[in-house]
Amino acid sequence: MNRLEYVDLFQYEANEYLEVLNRCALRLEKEPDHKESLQEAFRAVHSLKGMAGTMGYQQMMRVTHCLENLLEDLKSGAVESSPAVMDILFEALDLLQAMLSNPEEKLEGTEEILEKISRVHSSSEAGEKCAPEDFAGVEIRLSEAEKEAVRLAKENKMRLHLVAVTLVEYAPLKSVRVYMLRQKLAAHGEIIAAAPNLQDLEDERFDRYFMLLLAAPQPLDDRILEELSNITDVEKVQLLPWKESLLESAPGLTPAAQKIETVGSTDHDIAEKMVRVETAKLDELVNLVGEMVVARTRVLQLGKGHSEELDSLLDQLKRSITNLQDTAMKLRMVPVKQVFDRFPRMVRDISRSRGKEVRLTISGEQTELDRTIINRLSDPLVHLLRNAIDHGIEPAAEREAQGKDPEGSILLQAYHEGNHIVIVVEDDGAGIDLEAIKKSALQKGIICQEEAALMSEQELLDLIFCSGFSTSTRVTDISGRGVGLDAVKSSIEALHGTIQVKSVFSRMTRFTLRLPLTLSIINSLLVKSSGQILAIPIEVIQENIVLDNSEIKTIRGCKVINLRGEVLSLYHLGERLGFIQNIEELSGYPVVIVEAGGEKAGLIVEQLIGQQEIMIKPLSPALKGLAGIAGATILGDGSISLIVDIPELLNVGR
Amino acid sequence: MEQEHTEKEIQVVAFVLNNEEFACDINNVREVLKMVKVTPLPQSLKFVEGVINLRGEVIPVVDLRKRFNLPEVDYSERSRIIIVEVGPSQVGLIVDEVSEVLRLSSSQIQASPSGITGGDNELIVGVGKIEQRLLIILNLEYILSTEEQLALEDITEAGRQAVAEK
Repeated sequence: MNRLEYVDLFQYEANEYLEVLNRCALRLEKEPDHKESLQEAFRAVHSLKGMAGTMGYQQMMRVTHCLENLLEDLKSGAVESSPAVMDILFEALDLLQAMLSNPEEKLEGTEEILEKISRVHSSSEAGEKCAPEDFAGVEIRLSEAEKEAVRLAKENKMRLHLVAVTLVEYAPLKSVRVYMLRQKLAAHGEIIAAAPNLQDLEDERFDRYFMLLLAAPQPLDDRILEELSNITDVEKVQLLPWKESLLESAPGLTPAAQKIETVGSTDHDIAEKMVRVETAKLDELVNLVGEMVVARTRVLQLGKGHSEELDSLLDQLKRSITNLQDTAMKLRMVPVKQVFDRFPRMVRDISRSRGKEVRLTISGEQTELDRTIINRLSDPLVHLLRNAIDHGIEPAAEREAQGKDPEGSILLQAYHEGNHIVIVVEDDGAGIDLEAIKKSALQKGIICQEEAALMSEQELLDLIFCSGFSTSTRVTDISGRGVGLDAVKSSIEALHGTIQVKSVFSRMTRFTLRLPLTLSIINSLLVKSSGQILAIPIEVIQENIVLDNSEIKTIRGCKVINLRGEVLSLYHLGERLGFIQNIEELSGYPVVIVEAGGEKAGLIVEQLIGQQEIMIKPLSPALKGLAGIAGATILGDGSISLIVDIPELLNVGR
Repeated sequence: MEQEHTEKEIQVVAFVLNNEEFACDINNVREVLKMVKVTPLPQSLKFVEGVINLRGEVIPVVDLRKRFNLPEVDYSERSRIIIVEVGPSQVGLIVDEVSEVLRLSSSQIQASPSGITGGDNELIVGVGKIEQRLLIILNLEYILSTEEQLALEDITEAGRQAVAEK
């Protein structure tokens, strides 16, 4: 790995730690005494410091170091948690986040925040901590086997030494120092146990303190200790008294220390269960599996009926490949937590700046969906949440006057529904004023008086998704800048998803997003047009009808049909795409009614082939700018079918 | 400087188009396929014949005859698709036939003879000469990046002259 790859990894991990820190900080703001969060935050900041140290990011190390002190003070109770302290904590986290993109540079405001922190820190008991406290987290815990080794050593009249080592701060190559120490010590006796354990020491999963338990025939004299201290980067070597209590079945741990141990060990378990893999490799795997699936269909066709043995083998192969495909697809799935985790902090900040009280409840954050969708889901959700705070939730006083809980509530929920994931953003705020919508839409010329009179409540509500529509006259720095819900809608549609809104005036507003689980496999209708097999994504299809020639009318040279009172434009699909058409007299052709972006039209095709799950293959960058084509897919027989981009198709030639 | 040049050697894939021999740098070539079914694309550039399925990847193919404004002929048993890598994308080139892989030392290559493309020499890298054979070494990047009409007959003629003069 070169340094650049390290930087990527660092960024990724640092982001994770910052998310943990933000989450803990939010919890601590509500429950200052939540020990686990303090502990978790402390560990996260500590790891972050270590990583920044490894990367040589001095500024980040300084901030994390100060933050560590602050958390330490909060832990020990030397500093009382207060809104002011929490604000400093949040400020420091923001600073760290900002530093991530520019880790080598010194950002403005760094000194200010460092000073704020150190002021809080020094208001607690000043002065350096003494050595034993440094080792507070490090304690030898013996396994049964190690206890046995200790007993054996004692039987053999060996002496037991607890060697406590302190490395200098930010020592590089810590594992090498540990190795050298162990080598030196091994010359005088046998190392029975270590804290943290040897594996963690080798992997540098420790700060600067560690302990080794040595069984030696001779007492360790000062000369040996000095020899040990002379190893590079070793700050101090101490001999701690051996405690018989370590041999007792329940190791003499303080409850707090036990807590650390259990939390730590789950972390370790997870680390063992998870591997980090480059996404490019995953994509390649999924691609290869896709090829296998295509090849499978061919092999099955060719091999069928030759012999019973071959048939059963083919059957087995088919099943394995299907399972393999399922597994490969699952590998691309990540929990929505990845996006959701950012929101509590965001909601807190926005609602504070608006002077509103908002409680965000998240559920179903473990619901999984395709990584590529997750990445593109963040912006629309941010928008909806901001809208909810800005336009939904009323100020506390207003809420109280209405007999509502002064604290507004926003619900963010995710769950699976068939082949889709549903995400709900619901607030118990003011709801949407239909009259205001009507007025605004009329003013902006989106609808006319007659239309307005005929529209149902839901139709009026749906107007909020029209472009150029915004009911709020206020312009804040967050929402209401012209890019409104129409942008949200189009980004959801770009993901082959849908968005719906429900609202009860002065009670609640609910946005429901439905998205496919994956973008690489979609359900589609295969049709034939201009002699080509084309795929139309199923979610844009409203219905299929068969048209008689006489039903086709012409308005100003454009073909239209009257579908139950609605006049729709009619296009020949192949012609619309730009294929050379072979229009014979149209009679009895199937027509696919599609809708996208509020635009509805009928597409004449030659033949409906059927519904099929297809895997989307991107078109080569050399072909970019091919209007109306979203990609291609490979059918079971190895032939290629183009996927029609309906939203683009309906706008082509505008 | 001259010395260095003569030591340099490149490998090229030689192919035939309209009875003329052409070549492209082997470093750009991923593989050579027999003709497969080409799925047409709508409203694409005229010379992009369509896309093919290369083991699960969808790859555009360019008919070099159309690209160079040569008379169209039906594909034959000898027709081949050369899969080349140009920048980030893979593209298939349909040619009349692929003859062989050749080594050309730099003394056998006359780099970009002037006048071949009427002042603009980007289309070809050079002209290779092996005994009586004349190979036009194409600059693939240029062929695929420009939408300009390319009249190859002029080029081959100019190439022939340039070499003859030498």
